[in-house]
Amino acid sequence: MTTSLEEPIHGKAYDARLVRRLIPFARPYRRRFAGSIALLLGMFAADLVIPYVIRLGVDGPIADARADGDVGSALRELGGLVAILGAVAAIRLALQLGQLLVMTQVGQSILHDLRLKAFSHLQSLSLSYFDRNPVGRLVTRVTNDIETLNELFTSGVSVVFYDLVKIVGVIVVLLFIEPRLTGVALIGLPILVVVSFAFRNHARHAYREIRTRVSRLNAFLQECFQGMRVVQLFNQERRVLERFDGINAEHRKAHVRAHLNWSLFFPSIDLVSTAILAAVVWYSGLAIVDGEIQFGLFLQFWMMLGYLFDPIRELSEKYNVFQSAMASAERVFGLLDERSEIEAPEKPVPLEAARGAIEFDQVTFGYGEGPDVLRDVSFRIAPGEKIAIVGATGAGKTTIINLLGRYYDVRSGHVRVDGHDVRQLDPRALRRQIGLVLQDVFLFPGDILENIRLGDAGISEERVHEAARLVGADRFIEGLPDGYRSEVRERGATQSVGEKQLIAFARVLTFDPAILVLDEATAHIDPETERLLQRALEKTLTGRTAILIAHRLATIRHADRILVFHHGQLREAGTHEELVEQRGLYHRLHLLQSG
Amino acid sequence: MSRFRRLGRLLRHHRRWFLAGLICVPGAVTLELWIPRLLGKGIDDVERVSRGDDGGTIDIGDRLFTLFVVVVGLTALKSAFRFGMRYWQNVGCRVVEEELRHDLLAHLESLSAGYFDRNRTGDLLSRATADIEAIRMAIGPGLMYLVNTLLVLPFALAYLLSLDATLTLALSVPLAAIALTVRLLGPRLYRRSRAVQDRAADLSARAVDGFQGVRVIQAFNREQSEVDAFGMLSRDYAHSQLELAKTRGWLQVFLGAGRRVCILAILMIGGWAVMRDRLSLGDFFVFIQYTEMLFFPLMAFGWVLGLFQRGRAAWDRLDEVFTATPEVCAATGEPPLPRLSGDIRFDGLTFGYEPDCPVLRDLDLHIHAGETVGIVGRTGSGKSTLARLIAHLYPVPAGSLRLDDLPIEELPLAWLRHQIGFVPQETFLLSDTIEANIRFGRPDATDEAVRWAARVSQIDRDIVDFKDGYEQMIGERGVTLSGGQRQRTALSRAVLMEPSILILDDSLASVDADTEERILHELREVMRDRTCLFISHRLSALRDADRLLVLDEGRLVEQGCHADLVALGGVYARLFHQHELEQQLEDLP
Ligand SMILES: Nc1ncnc2c1ncn2[C@@H]1O[C@H](COP(=O)(O)OP(=O)(O)OP(=O)(O)O)[C@@H](O)[C@H]1O
Ligand SMILES: Nc1ncnc2c1ncn2[C@@H]1O[C@H](COP(=O)(O)OP(=O)(O)OP(=O)(O)O)[C@@H](O)[C@H]1O
Ligand SMILES: [Mg+2]
Ligand SMILES: [Mg+2]
Repeated sequence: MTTSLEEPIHGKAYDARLVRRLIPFARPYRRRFAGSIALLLGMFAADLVIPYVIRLGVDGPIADARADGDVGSALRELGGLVAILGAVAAIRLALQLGQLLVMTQVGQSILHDLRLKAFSHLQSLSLSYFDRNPVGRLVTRVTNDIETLNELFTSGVSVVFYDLVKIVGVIVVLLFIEPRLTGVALIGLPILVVVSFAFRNHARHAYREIRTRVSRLNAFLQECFQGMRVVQLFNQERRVLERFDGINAEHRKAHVRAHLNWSLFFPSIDLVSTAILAAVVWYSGLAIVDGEIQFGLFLQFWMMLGYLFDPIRELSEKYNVFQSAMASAERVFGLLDERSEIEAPEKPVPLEAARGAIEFDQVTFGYGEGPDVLRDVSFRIAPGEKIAIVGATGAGKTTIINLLGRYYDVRSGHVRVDGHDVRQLDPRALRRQIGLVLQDVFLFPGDILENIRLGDAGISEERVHEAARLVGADRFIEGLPDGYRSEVRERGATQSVGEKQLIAFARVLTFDPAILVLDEATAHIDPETERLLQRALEKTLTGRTAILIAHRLATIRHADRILVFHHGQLREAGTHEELVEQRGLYHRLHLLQSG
Repeated sequence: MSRFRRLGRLLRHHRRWFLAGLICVPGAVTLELWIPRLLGKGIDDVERVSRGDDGGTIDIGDRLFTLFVVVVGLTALKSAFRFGMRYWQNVGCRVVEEELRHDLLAHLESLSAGYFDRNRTGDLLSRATADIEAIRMAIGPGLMYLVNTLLVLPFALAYLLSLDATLTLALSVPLAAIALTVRLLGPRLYRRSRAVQDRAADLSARAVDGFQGVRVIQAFNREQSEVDAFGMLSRDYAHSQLELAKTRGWLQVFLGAGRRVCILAILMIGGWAVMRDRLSLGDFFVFIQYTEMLFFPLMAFGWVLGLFQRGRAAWDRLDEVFTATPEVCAATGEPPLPRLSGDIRFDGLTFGYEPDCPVLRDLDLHIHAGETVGIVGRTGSGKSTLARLIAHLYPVPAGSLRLDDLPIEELPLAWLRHQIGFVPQETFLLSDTIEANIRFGRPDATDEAVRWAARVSQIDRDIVDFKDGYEQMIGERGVTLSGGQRQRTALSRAVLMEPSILILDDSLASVDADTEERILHELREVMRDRTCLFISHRLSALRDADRLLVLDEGRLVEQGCHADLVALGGVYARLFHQHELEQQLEDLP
């Protein structure tokens, strides 16, 4: 499963562009970003104060007391310092809490915006995109991939800024405290930087691979869960599991490779920074012996060095987070860049109430890169006319409808509605005029009522009931314990297929379209119920253009005209009698069905 | 705790990774504790020399150089330990994660159709990914930091105690306070983590719907309302994350406060001890180092706690799947017969998907081996249900359904299903090549057999037109095929099983009369000596049936051959006249 349509693992890296594209999502929250940075700076100031106070304590009262033995006054002095320290620490904690809350909120808001944007963008893409991409992959994009950006926004952006400030700030302060000692520390610093960044190249590749593996895993599982009944019916549990094991193992391996990188990274950083610290001890030990510096100063210096190493380590750590986030951002933006193959025109021709004239003018079409599915098809349908389309399976009937609603664009020729090429119309306005019952019924989880009116609150419950009555769905709906409020499970798992078709039928009637298109809409409905439906249709169809696709010829007997397709070409057209007369394809179908 | 037994077993099974990781921990911790002490000693030397206490016996330059070399060497060793600890630990939990996911899928595969009717794909998906991920985080980094902390804490405290008891006791007060806070915040962390995971599952379920239903959504211009609904769930999810972050934030603040209190205590009490020469400056340094060192794990402890609570919430969600039992109980072990002959008997079977609303009632029916029966009935009368029961997709009351005179419960599921060729009313194909789809039930089938199956369903005529022929990839669920092509692929898939019982559930509904005729012709060959259930709304398709069954509201109301049923003047006659009437109407000039 899902061996098809795999996505490549490697893409080109384009960080700068990615970052530039992320900025607009952060922009609405720039005040809060600024606030958070201010809070971080406050925290930094507090961090600087703490070692300083310790130094004051050690070199001041403690050293004094050791020298003159006056413990009492030294303790009082020390108490004062401790009180200051306590106050500073309390302020720092408050700042930290504030910063955390602000950033979480910002991060979550941005993610929400991104998710919504990705989801609505996907909703606007053309069907050809959905032909190519399994649902599991798309779900991964709007959930896991976007989630990975979380850290980038919550801690990433401001922390990087903060860390840079911190590094520069600490170095300045260190120089100020004790320039020679700082010199010792700074000799080691380049090594630290080199080590940190040695890991980065590795990281990006590893993360990109991880994202792809995650997506594959999800797509496989999603298909597997949905097709479980078929898997079980055909006893393929073992084999499916084996194939899953392969995907699952690849997923693990990708992660383990990334772990190797991480596991080396922290200890290496630790080694280098400890070496620097030890060098500082060595040097300052000599300096203390020589009486050049005091012990408290050494202590302050030591603690301050910690403040230097932390941000450096954090920066490289964040770099990893960035790599991971960028790998995700690539995928999310890849999605947002996906242009719908169906572009709405700049200035669409208005189409308020369509008369329902339809024209196919020398239309040739094929899906994607594939062969032509329709070849040079031309026909006209007058407003209010009822047309039936018949033909062998795979002849291209559904394709005609896909072109009429402009779900795909023709290769050559024109499809016109009310005399306008559909490419001049706003697809939404066009589709509003066309009521479509699809060959495959799709129901949404929720209840029956909402499935009929599709969450359109403008449609009253009475109207829904009436439509259900018209199509004869009321009989089974009212037999259910909760009637119209009965639960519908995923894909309508608990309705019979015929019942689902009736619901889809009722759906299209509530929307009252100018053009009605029924693609095998009664294929799974028994003849008796269908007869009811036919009567209802006769009434509702008056004045509307209708296209009926059916294999059961009985279904289309009301049609004014019948178009017969074969292998993507329009082969016969005319009324039932004319076609029977012609003794062609239609005649043959007719003979077969009348038994 | 027995809930965690499965996890425990997994951990035990893969213990070598964790043990390898854990073995490194004491080494790393020992060195971690030792290095500051070496530095402290060095500082004491420095102090002694600078005060002149050593009487000139110490060559301080030499000492400090040795110290430098030793510290760097030991740190290198420590880094090696840390690497081992991290790496093996991580590999271990990835392996556990992998196996857990394998187990989850294996378990889901054992569950019955009813489970998948009730549970949403998106929700299951989120359990198999996000929740398992959360569990991994809890057993991996979570466990590692926990062990690390538990080792560091007692040794560090013991050493500090030997240096200065008062100070150490003073330090244990904030430490204890932290432990208490962590405990108190635990349940809340759990609740909020669980909320986050539930909301995430809702969100992903909604995304699945939104993408699967995109054809309908676009056809009815419902994009906006779909986006709004998704947006609402997305906001709920973001909100639940925020709530969780608040709890975590407070936890961090409490931990941070504890840390500062410790520093203050060291400065005050330690300073006092230093003044009275009870504590050397080097030891004062060690105190500061150790508390910092204790704090990193303690901070991590807060984080670990979050991980554990999240892991527990995730485990509970996973456990809901693991504790679900298959509703269909079937015998395991040796099949009682080499092969089914295809004799099916319903004995007063009453069945409902929900306990109190029967879909099939008092069904008494005997289908003989090799017989072809046609089943007709109104929409929702229970035809598909009847077919599903024969494949034992849903549980039936004991003894009410017998195959070859054996109760269906006594037949091993895999063996049973291997002998049934089922074409479901709604086709499900996989995104794979068309050949792989036909071969699905019999991966070992020969190419000739596949070609033959394709010919029976007449899909071979379409396949030659495809760009890649049998290797043509078809989109998810077969979206790149026409409705009839999809149905016929499913028919080939079933026919290839060479089943004892062939079930066609309205399987030619999307096929034109001409193709239908050809398929029926081919099927005649296939159906010879097989039992065949043929559900259809097109009466013309049922003319080969030996017997027709008429279902109405879950009851078998009529049965017999076409002529008898017409003569009976009941439901079937009405359906038939309807049919005839239609034909006549068509033929009117
Ligand atoms: N989304 C798609 N991508 C690629 N090829 C497609 C797609 N949809 C249909 N086709 C191909 O186009 C041809 C015509 O398909 P179409 O669905 O229009 O047939 P149809 O006349 O509706 O058949 P049926 O009666 O079986 O529904 C078929 O060969 C089919 O395989
Ligand atoms: N999985 C399910 N869970 C609960 N109820 C179900 C389930 N499947 C079907 N039903 C209900 O059981 C009844 C019989 O359904 P069934 O699918 O057997 O009808 P059918 O005769 O095959 O109809 P159709 O001709 O429309 O295919 C229907 O009322 C349906 O709503
Ligand atoms: Mg079609
Ligand atoms: Mg059915």
